[in-house]
Amino acid sequence: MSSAQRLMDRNGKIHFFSEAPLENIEATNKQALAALDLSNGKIAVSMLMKGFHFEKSLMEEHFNENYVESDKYPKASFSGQLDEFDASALDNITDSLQYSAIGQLTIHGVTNDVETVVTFKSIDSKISVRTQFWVKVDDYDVDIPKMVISNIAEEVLVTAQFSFERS
Amino acid sequence: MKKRMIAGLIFIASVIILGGIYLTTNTKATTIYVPAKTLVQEYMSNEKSADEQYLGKIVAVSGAVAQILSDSPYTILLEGGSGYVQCEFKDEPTTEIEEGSSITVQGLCTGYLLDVILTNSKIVTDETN
Repeated sequence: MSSAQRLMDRNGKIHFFSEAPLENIEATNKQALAALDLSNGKIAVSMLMKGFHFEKSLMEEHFNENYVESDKYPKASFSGQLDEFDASALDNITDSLQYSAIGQLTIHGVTNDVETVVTFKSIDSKISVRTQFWVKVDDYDVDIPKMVISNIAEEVLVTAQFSFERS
Repeated sequence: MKKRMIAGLIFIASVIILGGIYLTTNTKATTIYVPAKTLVQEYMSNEKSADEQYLGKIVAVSGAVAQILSDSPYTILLEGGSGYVQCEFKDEPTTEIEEGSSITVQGLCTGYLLDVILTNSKIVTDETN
């Protein structure tokens, strides 16, 4: 594991939010693993589904048992590529730096292509990285019973935030 | 009438007491005590079988503090030999944790990434072991 070529965050934050008629649903996972390969701009993110915490424990239970079936599919992951990435640009970020990223997102055992914009910022000795994109629940074969469908939005907004120690 | 009421009250009280005893002993019984080294080893050699044993369970993991990873939320790494156990705390512990000291952390095991991961963790003192 060469630290010079790879930036790593073992407690990255993944948040998802969905606005629904009855109540908003949101959860956060603060132990996601992210790695950025400086030599080629490849990114890999993985997280444990049981690590998503909701305000209501009943929601957390439904999420794990009925929707994402986290005993069967304990992880979600993203592996992708930053477009035209140049590691030397990270050394002198003035305000912020943006790269578009394409990759594959796997949730509930189903993989789909995802495109997003990743923003890099320089904060003290750290590089802060943030991205946001929409995920359609239906694309990942997550079955929501008709009875509750009006209470759950079909799309959720995912925000990922990582902090890398400069090598 | 009065006798019936008293009998009823006794019945309700015993249900509450027995229920309480059941719940407390039940949660205690489901806590799995394991050294950090063993937990990491088991996950590294066979993640699937380790998941069957630990995923979604309350585990009490003992080991030396390798690193304090973050203050908010309070997150530490326990030394596990060839890997670490990452423990995210529910509340910041009241006793100060020092790198190198041996502690036991109880939390919910959510699986394995680069580290074995515990959430909703807290320190358990030796007396309760």
